[in-house]
Amino acid sequence: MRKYALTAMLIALALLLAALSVRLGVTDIASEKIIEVILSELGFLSAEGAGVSAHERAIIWHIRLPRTLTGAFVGASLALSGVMLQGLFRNPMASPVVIGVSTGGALGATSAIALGLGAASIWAVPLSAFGGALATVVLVSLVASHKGHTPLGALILCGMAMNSIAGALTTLVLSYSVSDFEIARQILFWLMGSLTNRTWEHVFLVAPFFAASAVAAAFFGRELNLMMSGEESAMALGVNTARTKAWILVIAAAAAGASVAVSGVVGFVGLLVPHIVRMLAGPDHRRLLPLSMMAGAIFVMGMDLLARTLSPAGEIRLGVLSASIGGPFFLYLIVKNRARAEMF
Amino acid sequence: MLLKVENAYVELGERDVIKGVSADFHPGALTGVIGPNGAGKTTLLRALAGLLPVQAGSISLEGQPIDSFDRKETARRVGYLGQKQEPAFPFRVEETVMMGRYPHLGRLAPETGADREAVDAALRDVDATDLASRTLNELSGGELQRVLIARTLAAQTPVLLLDEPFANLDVRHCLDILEILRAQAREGRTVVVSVHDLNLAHRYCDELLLLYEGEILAYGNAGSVLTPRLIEKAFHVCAQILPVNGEEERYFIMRTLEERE
Repeated sequence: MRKYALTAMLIALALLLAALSVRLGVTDIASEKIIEVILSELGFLSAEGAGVSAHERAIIWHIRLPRTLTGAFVGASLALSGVMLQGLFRNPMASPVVIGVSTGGALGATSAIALGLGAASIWAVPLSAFGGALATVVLVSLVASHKGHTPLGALILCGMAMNSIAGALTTLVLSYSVSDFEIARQILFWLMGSLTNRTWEHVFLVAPFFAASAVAAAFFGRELNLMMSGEESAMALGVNTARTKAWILVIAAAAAGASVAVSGVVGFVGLLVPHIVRMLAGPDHRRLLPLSMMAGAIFVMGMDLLARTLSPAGEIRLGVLSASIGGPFFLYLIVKNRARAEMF
Repeated sequence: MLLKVENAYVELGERDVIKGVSADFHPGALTGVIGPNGAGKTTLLRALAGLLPVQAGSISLEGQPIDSFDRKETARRVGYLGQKQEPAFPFRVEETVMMGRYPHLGRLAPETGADREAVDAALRDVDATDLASRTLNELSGGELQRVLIARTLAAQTPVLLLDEPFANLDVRHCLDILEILRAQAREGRTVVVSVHDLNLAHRYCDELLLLYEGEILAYGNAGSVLTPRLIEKAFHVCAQILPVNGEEERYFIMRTLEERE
């Protein structure tokens, strides 16, 4: 009973936040109009409904809805990536940002923009982000893991190094690009993390990566559980650890890379969300994965809603807000669980 | 299931840790692997479980080379519990023991009644039924060790390999674990366990394999292996043997060689 209660609660919360996210904004548009726009755009209603202006239609269909959906996919992808990395490294402190995967993805994305590949194909930026994320995660696992064990210290230090390297290279790319204002502006965007001006194109960029990652991840729930007492132990219980590890790294990189490609670096989702869900639902990855994806979508949609409604002076960057709310909350979790730190 | 090692060499890093070991582990027998620290006990057990490749020689199950099986096939035949298990997440005990059923389960296939029965039986075997719904972080060291043994038993493999499963166990649970392993052997399983305590090894094991610097120093029934001469050679201690209940049991008292002088 409790099992379904949490799932139902998360679904309800996700739907509520999606609705609020489309409903709330600088321009006040009535709910009936929103439903009318969505139904007519989906072809269930004749397009020329009464009382909806072209302006309102554009705000709903071309601004708020793609932004909401992009946020949901980004949050779900980051949480998925976080769960996979924490399970693989047997470490609740792993996350795409902590171990440098997001920064690696951002480096891939900025390089693609700077080289002008973004104009050549819409897939260039997400694919380079994926490549950057994958290269980083493979490097981290080669450097920080020894004989199937990844000590927390080694993982965090390795993540710091990867973040510095990828960050420095990103700055290098940026400094070569400042002469071209448009490219420099685009690159700065990755570094701050935002869902501003997301279009349907972004939804269609992140959605297939997320869907493929989520489907692939579903096959590895049991293996992730078995990893909990180390690689050799998982191997002895029958897991093909080499193949499983490779898949998990690719899935985590694809999910993180795609989300970075459409929203830049948004921190704390991949760290915080799996943590909280594990506390509520237990560590079984077969439950943890889907529930964390929902919770990740909720977290990012919620943060984005706050980001664009909180300050009358103008939008707060999503990455900034996520870190300023997620960071202190994470510190609180550490303090609260200090006594039993080694198991948490 | 007959587990056979023939002239096996196992390398760890650049070094040969196991050098030309041959042994037949028979169904129905509880074999103890003994030897000083660094003799290669762990490496031998890992190789037997198919977790380390042999550089030369062979390890086979019922005549088939162990490396001809894939991981799941091996895990359905050989259960292995290594040292130093540190679970990273607070799973419940029953979930943990159910992980032992992994090699019997198809990808995404749900657990069946038979799996749950195997888990219940394994928990009963290690006297941990009342721990079933606790989480791993609530267990004492000894309780955790029993749960991990239950996870190994739950796979119901014909071969069981356990590397020093007595760490953190108090005297009673040590004896209980050895009783369990002996019972498993009597049911027809091939059981190999590394043991430090020579008194326990002598009392419970049908056969003993004494390793010294990666080679077999002695192999046979417990009485023939645990002699003062061999103990001194392997462990560099002076052993005095006291017979208990006539010659049935023995009690070993160890002294350093300096002490004897």
